[in-house]
Amino acid sequence: MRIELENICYTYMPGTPFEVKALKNINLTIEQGEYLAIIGQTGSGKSTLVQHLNGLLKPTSGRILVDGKDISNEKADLREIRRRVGLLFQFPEHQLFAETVYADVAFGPKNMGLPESEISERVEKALRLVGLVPEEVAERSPFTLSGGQMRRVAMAGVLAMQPEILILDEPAAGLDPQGKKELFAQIDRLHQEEGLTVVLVSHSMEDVASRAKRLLVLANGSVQMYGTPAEVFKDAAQLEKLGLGLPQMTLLMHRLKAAGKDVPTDIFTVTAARDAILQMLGGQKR
Amino acid sequence: MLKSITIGQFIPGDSLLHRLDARAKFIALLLVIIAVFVVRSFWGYLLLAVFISALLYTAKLPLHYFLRGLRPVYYIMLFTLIIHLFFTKGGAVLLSLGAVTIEANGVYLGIFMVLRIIFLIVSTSLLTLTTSPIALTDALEDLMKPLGKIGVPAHEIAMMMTIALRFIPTLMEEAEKIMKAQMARGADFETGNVFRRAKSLVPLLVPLFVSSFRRADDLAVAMEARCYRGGQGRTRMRQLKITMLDIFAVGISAALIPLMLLLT
Repeated sequence: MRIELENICYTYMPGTPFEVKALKNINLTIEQGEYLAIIGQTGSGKSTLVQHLNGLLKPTSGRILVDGKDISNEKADLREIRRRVGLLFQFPEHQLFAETVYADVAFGPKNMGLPESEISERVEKALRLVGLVPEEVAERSPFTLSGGQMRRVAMAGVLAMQPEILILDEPAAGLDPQGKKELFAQIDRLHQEEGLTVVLVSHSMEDVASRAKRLLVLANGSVQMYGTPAEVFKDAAQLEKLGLGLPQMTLLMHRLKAAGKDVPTDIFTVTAARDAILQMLGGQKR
Repeated sequence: MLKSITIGQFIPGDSLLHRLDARAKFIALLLVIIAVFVVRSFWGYLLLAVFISALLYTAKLPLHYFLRGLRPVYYIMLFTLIIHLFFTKGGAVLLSLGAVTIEANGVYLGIFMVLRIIFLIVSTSLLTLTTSPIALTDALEDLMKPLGKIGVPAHEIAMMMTIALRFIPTLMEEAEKIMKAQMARGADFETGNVFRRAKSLVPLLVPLFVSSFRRADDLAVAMEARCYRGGQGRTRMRQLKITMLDIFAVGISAALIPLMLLLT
């Protein structure tokens, strides 16, 4: 499935002294199989933007096309769109409500009107996808779980609807480094093995640079930069100005280059940096 | 949806009314309300109408905020008007359809009653629209202080109100977020009969309660960590100060009451 945004503008509380223009003329196409990261500082409009992708917010002006169909249209079947576009909010553990983990994860499929057998199948699969053992947690109350486990249950709740696109709003906020690593590994797996289109919202370059195929940098509600990570990181000064900065390894490469060393600058991970530096040193020896 | 509800509808500004001391505004409002209840003649209504319109003009706020405040009482106003039209008798018969008659007194009283409701709502909105909730609770605390002698915990009541007011927008935001999160999972809050809808609120209310309790707990810890001990000997960041303007405002409002009684 493919989502196109055409000249999206969104204004909060129009016509009052509290009016805020949250989005200004956003144009964006999300293709099937994409791994997109939306990056910006707090208040840049990231969360507002992703809520347009499944019709939770209607643009003040502009059009949103899902597979070519306009979803701001009155007749559009928003429930069908919300099934296909899974959205996981920030701190999703705050939305858990049911008495058991099973019932909570089953909420989405139940709303879709699926038969009981299919629901239980989906719940089990979704729990496994997020790295939980259904036999252990299914009958427990979600409120007895740890914070990290609660977040996984919430994620399973979205995955159980078997969406084609998974949008995650700051999924790693408040997790410890280990939990963060596991979560991102799971998201990567969902992208590679289940073929999910992933849209990741974050304020941290470090987290997304090495995994997203494309970066969209937002500031003050408009698109500042858009392209592959390598393309976006070329303009380090601009990123700095937007208060985002480079991933540490990329910054290191930029500094080395500025010091006259012959290194590539499209490097985001420690491993890649090590290889590049070794190559540089080796090249000098010869 | 939830966005249309504005609570603590304070609109920041710099008009004369905004600058008045909240206590003075509060007392003046009470006096105006008393005046609205004792008014009994055409001239009295006219004077009140002129007075309140003048205040509206001074507040420098768009009129639609006041009209929005009136919206919830449209039906009450309509109901009042109709009841008086048909059931208040006396004066010339204006219209008669068999047993049903509309008489002059009914028309007068109906219109006057509706005017009273409008006066009440508009003058109250004038207070809430030009006074920040915090200033309002500060004023209440100060006005209730004498009651402390008979054991009324004025500071605690004011603190509770401040906290409640402070958290209304937070809770609204939270509710909207949870609602959206559940809608993203296919929840439907808008269709179905009363029972279905009540049941559909469970996925909204449970997380809302959970987070409210968590917030309350966090707040209590944060307050204790800052050695909060209640009102005794506590000073304020914003000192309330009475100026000539405040005395003048209260004086004018007080003068309304004898005027209403005199104009018969």
